[in-house]
Amino acid sequence: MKILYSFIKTLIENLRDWKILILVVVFAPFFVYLMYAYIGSPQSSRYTVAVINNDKSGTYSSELIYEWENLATDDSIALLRIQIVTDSVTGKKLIKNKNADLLVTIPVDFSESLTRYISGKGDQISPLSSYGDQANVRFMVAASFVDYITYGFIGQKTNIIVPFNIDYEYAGRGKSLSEFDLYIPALLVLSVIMILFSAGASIVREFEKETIIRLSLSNLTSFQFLTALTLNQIIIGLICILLTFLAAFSVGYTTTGSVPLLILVGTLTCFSVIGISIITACFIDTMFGLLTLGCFPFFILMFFSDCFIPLPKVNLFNIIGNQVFLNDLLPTATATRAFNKIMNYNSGISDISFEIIWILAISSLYFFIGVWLFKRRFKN
Amino acid sequence: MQTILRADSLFKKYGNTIAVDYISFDIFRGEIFGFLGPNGAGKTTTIKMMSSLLKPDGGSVVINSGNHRTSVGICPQNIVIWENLTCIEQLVFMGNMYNMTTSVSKSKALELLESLGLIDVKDRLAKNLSGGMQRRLNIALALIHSPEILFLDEPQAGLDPQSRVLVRDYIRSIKSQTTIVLTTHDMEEAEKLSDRICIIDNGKLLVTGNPTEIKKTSGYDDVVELDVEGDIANTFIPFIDPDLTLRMVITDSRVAFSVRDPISAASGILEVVKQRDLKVSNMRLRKTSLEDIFISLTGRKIRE
Repeated sequence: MKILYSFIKTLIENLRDWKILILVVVFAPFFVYLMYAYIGSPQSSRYTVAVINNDKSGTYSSELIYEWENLATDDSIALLRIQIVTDSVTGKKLIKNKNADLLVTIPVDFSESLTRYISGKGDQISPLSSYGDQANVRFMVAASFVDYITYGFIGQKTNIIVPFNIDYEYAGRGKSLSEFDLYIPALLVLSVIMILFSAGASIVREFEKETIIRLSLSNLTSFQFLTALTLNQIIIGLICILLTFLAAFSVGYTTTGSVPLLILVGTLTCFSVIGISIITACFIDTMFGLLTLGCFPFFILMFFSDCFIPLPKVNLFNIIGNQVFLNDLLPTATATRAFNKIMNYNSGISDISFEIIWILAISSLYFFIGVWLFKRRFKN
Repeated sequence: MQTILRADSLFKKYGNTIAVDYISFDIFRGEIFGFLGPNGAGKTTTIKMMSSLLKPDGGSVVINSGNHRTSVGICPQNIVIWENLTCIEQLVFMGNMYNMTTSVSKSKALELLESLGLIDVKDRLAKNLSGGMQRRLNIALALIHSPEILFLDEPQAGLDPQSRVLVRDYIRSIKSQTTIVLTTHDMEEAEKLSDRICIIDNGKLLVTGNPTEIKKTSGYDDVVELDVEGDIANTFIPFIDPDLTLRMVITDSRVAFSVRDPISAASGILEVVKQRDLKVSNMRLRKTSLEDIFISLTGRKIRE
């Protein structure tokens, strides 16, 4: 019963300390909209190709541009956005301002040279020229798409068939994934990471106001206090996940991933973040300290959990054929991977069983360290 | 008198600083025990050890009842309340934490709120209470589980005169059910409330006993006080009869002599005044107070 009373008391306090609760709950949904605004809609992970069409000698250039425009995924999502520009100064400006990923110039005699080649009167087709920022990954992708279509177009017109083909097999749920789609699992984990503050606040408040003395003198045990806190924060964490999902759905994200699996991984992730919160809170005395020093573990979790920045994978060891990377020491990193598999690749429990076991194991470790530290502080 | 708490050779050290230096005393059931000492004397450390919040480095505390922790209630000097809970919510919650059912806890909470003048604000969030109300809630929280021993650390600090009277009367009223250990800097308050007092300084126990007895044992029942102009110290020191005064305390232009025979002491002092041609604006004769004893035992040096 004491767990229930403590749970209700902590819940009331969390609801009344609404500023922290709002911060925790709306942070990730806010980022969903921010990412949506930054990357674009989930359907439009498109690459902008600026085209200078100098060809006055025929219609092949227009046909080629049409082919580029029609490059689409299996579920009919266009991949290239063609922007016609009149001169190279304008085109290069677009590249430098990152308003276009690739600039293609079609020469004046493109159609004429192609016609001559087809009729056997010429041995060379006037080349297209490309311009782009080599450091921009989007340039490389856009150039690959343009190359692929262009070689196909020329091959078709000249009847030159390359005696080679690559068969592609696609992972996932049979629809193309936009950059935005790939960010959603990370944003779910970010939403859970935010409970670092609400869970930490529930502990630090007791230390700061010294009410921990009253609890310590009563019959409440550390285990009961932390169980009530954990249940409380898991509820808040699941609400965070739900709101983040709703925000993603509101801007067109879809998934057919298993809901029970999502809840399971979400709950385990909450458990891991609560463990880290307890450890953090045991070294902090004031709410001010939590909102300043507490940002340190928050940033570590955010940046090293593949939430935003893909980090180089440092392989630590293998367990039954599963690689364990350095950042898997943070359970949130494994959770990001598990969420991604469930949501974007329709993975079932057998596909993510290793991730689940790993999150559970590493979270338990953090949790027990947290409980041990808390016990030392609670009864002293 | 039945001993309810026995502190035996309590010792506590923080680094190289000895906070409590092998002190021993008994507290009897049903008494109000005043625990006095200047800042940094070791009062709070001793109370923490007595209430099991701090482990002593040496010695022991024995409470003649069941569970050490649950048989004590503590009202710390700082206001220790849950700001985002109402008065009634936090009292009921604490009752629950002491294994009381919600109905029993609520009825006890209402009784406490009534007694401490908080019934009208029972549903108000603690953070929205006045400072005095928060202090009274602080006391109520220490009493919700009807502890056998209540530690009150400066319970009246920050209270207005009306609240002081209310709290003082309440402390007296619960004395029959709860043994009270009271720390305060207010000597008058300690004298009015305490059945026995102990004075500690630098971690050492200086004196224990009934306030009246302690004053008597000093041997100096009276104090002669003069407001004088001039170099008081050099004027009087050569003339002080060691048998006449326990001590001479000088505060600005006031000099106070603790004396055994106030009439002859006063005439001797007046003789000095006359010889030195000093201007005396005021002269008083009063009984020795607990503060006089406290100052005589602990000195006048300001503590950290």
